[in-house]
Amino acid sequence: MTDTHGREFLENEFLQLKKQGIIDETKVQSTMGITDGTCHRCLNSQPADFGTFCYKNNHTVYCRKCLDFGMVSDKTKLYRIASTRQIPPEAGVLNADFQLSTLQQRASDFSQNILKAKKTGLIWAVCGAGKTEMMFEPIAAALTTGKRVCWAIPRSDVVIDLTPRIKEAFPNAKVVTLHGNSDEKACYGDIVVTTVHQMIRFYEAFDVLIIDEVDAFPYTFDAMLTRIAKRACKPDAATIYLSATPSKSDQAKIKKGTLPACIIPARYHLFPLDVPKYKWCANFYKQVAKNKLPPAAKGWLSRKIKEKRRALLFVPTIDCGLKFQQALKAQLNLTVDFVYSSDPDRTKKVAQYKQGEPQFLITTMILERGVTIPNIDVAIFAAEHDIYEESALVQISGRVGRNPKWPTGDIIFFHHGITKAMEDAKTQIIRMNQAARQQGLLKELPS
Amino acid sequence: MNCLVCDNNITINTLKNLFSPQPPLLCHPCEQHLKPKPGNVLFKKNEWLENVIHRLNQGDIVLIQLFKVQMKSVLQGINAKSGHISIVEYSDELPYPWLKILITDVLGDCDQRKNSTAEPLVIRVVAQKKRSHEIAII
Repeated sequence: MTDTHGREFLENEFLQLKKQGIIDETKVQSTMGITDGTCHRCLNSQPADFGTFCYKNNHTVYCRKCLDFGMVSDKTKLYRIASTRQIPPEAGVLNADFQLSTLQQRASDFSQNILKAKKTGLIWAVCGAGKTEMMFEPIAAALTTGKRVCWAIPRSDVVIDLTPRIKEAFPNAKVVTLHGNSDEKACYGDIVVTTVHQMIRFYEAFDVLIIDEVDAFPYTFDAMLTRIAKRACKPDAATIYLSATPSKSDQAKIKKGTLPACIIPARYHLFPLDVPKYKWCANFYKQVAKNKLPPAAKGWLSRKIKEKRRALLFVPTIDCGLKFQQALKAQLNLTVDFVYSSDPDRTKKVAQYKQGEPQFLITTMILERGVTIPNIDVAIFAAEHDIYEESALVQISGRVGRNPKWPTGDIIFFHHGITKAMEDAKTQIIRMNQAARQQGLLKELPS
Repeated sequence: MNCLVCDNNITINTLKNLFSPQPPLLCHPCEQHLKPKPGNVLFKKNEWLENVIHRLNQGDIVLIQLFKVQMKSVLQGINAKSGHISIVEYSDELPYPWLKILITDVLGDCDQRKNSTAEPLVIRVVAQKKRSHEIAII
């Protein structure tokens, strides 16, 4: 049955639900879609983001910003339904067969304090620190006290990846997944795991909001997403941001003390983060376009073949990846799969790679974060490209050494000139290792 | 000034745009996708244009501005050649009848109904061409 708790509907959707007898009209609040130059769904107030048209002598203003989710206009109403469903206390029963490390426990306690105080806080934890597990106890506490939880992630791949882990941890809670292709869009959830875009369907619905990978595209690039995330939560909701690479502005807020933060500088297995190495290889794109491989890259790949080491090979663009694929075939007689955002077999190829086959996988930034593959190395080709910002380079480096059985690996940036982003990324990784070492947290690697 | 489709800033880098009485609607990269086609189909079909049509079907009616000039010239051409009246039958049954709005906007300049007694030429206006006597966007 269609869920109405804490939902917002367009006029046509609402009338349809009313016809079906799903709506309890005593809980409904309505408002015009656009008044005083503001869209009441996405809170857009930029005049350039509104469109107008005249039809049958009716002059209509509509919001272009949130049009993908149906039209909001100054002639139609939005209908909001209060979230009154009681969450049973058993929803908070946690099924966890692992022990949190001291560091994870520190972050977990920090989150519980934020939830109790109904504030906003950030957990800045290195890649592979076990951020998801850190949040289980706070979620359990929230559910037990009847609070509805939303776990929002900017990327749908990560949403799909995360849901089974949350369902397993909370077997008695109703967990729903919302993303563009989800078939649960109309279902109710005590825990809603969603892309940030899908939060547009809610109004004052959640008591606890967790925003994972808060620095990831598109969340940081689209102000509308920040607004709809805020609007989907109750006014006194607590918010926890999770990130391995917080934005400069968030880092500044932490320094000033305006954003409470818990910094976790070590991975849960307590081995240091691998530090990237640089290798100059001239203009990578020019060479692969001529069906050649830079000698440095060819040597590195040949060594990996000999050592039977698996590696993710990052390229900045789809075109570059396709040319690299051909050059590998011509130069090393290697047939390597390539995954990119519009690849129809993307999910299948990534799943296959996670299961241990093949040895190499060429990828664009889509595997930059949220992916755990044990015992791999990573190479970034054309690392000087603009697309590789500091946070992207740190995240990609964080794909290596995530498993306690294989806590180390090789990270190499093939470049045509060292950029500031490359230097900043390397410095950030070294600083995190230093901080962890100073706190006496790190185990040293066996030599 | 932002592009009507991708919302990126528009940089004026051609004399044509600089001296144009109307501000440009598209940025340079988007403009590359809007390639006029001779005949009764306004533009060459491509992924970008299909996305524009998709947005129009969702109700982003301001995008009809992209087609006005070309639509006007095609309708005027038909009038001039045939000497007939253009009676345009539009058949969108969407919640936002953008083709109807586009034709209503353009027709003001093209319709010669009052001045002619000739047999009408019936034209359908559609988003994608399927049969003869159709004017299609793509």
